[in-house]
Amino acid sequence: MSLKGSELSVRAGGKPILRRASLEVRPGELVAIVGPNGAGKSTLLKALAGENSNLLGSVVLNGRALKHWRAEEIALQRAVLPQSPGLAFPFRVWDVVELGRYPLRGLASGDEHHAAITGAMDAADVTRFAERDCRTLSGGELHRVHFARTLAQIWAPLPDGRARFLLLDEPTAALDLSHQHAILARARGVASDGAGVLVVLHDLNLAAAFADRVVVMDKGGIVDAGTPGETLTTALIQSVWGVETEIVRDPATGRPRIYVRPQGIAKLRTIGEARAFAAE
Amino acid sequence: MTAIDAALSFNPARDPMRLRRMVTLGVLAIALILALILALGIGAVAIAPSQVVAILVQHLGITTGVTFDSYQEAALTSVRLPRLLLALASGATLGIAGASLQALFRNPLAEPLLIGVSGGAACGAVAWIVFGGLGLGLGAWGLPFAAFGASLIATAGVMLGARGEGRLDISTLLLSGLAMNALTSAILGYIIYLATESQVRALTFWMLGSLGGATWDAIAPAALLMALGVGALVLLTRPFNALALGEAEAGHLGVPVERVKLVTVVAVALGVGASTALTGVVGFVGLVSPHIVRLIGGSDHRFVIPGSALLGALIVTLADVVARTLVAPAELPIGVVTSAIGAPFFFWLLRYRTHQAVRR
Repeated sequence: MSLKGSELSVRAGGKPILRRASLEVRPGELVAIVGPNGAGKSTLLKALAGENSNLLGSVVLNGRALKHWRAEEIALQRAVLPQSPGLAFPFRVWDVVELGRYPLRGLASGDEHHAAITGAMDAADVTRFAERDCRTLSGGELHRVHFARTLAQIWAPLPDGRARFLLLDEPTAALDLSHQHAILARARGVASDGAGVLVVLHDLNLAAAFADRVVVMDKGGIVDAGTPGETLTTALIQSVWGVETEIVRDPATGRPRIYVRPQGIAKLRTIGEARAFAAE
Repeated sequence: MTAIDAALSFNPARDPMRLRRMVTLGVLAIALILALILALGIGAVAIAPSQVVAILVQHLGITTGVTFDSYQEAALTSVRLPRLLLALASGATLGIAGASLQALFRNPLAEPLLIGVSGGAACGAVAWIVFGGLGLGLGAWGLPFAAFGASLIATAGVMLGARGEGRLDISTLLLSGLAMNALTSAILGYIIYLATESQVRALTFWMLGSLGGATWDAIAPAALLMALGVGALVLLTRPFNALALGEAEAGHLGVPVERVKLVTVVAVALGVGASTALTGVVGFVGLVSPHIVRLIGGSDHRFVIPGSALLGALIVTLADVVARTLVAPAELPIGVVTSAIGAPFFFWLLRYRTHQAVRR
């Protein structure tokens, strides 16, 4: 049982934005995708979610090609948190989290739905907003509401034992320090509970701290994959991000901690240099 | 969980919003019943509310002590009752169609008039009148079907125009709707140019709306089409909620998005086409009803859809009373009444909301 993408390629505007990427997420593990802007991280996540219509390659969910599952059955097995979740109408927080239970209508009792919704809201720390209109929340708070919705969707193990998957596209981008860690700790907990979790992250230290495996992407392809200690090396970070770093092992966990050297930041023109360049 | 279990386990203290929604629907239903009795009683032959009730229940085999004469009974059963049923059916259809299109397009500005459905329906109906049933001889069914077919084509055109790379773009949608309105206006203009003097007078009916054509024979086929359309849309309340998240997200929740879109478009064209065929273009009901309902009880479509149906029916029923009585014995076109009252009210609503938002 797994969520497996093989040789995935996507072209947009005539350019390849994902090139022959293969990735398998197994139950119980948290996999982080990292890479610079435009590396194809979100495209790979969307491909695994079945969002791209012009996708080459195959995506297999729990032993069956994604296109052979019915949409409702896919929704029972995996939830997706988009990068910028939207809401067309003013819904209450409770109503949005409740939407996560849509695929389980008729499959769970009222008490089970209620328990999943309250539990998911608690895990995402949005319980105190339950009655609030979503339009009155900050961007980070709204992001947590949608995270709660995805948790509610795959809240309990499936009765037939099929594995569940959670795909999160930059879940921490809009969050404060404490909630960045809290959300990833929850995602980690979802993995420990038996689900496979795939997370797109920008912060290498968060990836190093929470991921079982890190997948490094650059220019539409997968450059390296393995444990944080194996993949996140100074040489790789230098070649992919063009940034000089120093890496130490966290004494408590043995996981890498990455420090960026100030003089090693990518060679961009300073504002003054850019002004002079533009004036020429 | 069945509906009965849900009702029994409902604790108002735990969910105040749900209580508010139930009360709102209850108040709307009672207001609608009162409006019905008012609408049935007002007119050239005055019928007191007690007599209205007495005549209605007499048909159910219940005799009351209230006296009424045969003129009153005839006016009620053969003139006002079909007219009232048409008001209820088209008001509910327009309200639900507006709410559904707003949900589908994720835009509170969508309504049948703005995206060309009503214009398309009017084109079909007007062409049917001027070209004498197009030689098809379909009788009472012909007009609703002509309007239905044209509204479906217009809606499909707007949808196709606004689709790019597999998704529906909101700003393109509005532009596409504008283009469709321009096109249907041009077609209407051309048909009017071809029409005779007497036909032009009849055509004015379609442009401005009137419930005057309601007879039992005419409303039976149209009501069937409206019931079909409304029946399909009522089943989509939960997918509509999911669509508020976006099409991709609704898909991730297991909503068959493309099928929901198709069913919604066909059902709206079906209902609005049939409604417009009998009443002409009645503006603003489809836009305003869902807005007011959402302001009172939030955006959950399990509430917005029935709420918009009740409020739409209430608005059209009352607007028809105004249209019949304001310049009696003549009649105002009902579209004039709904837009004349609806537009200023909507202005006020927008201002009120802006002030509320500032205070919050």
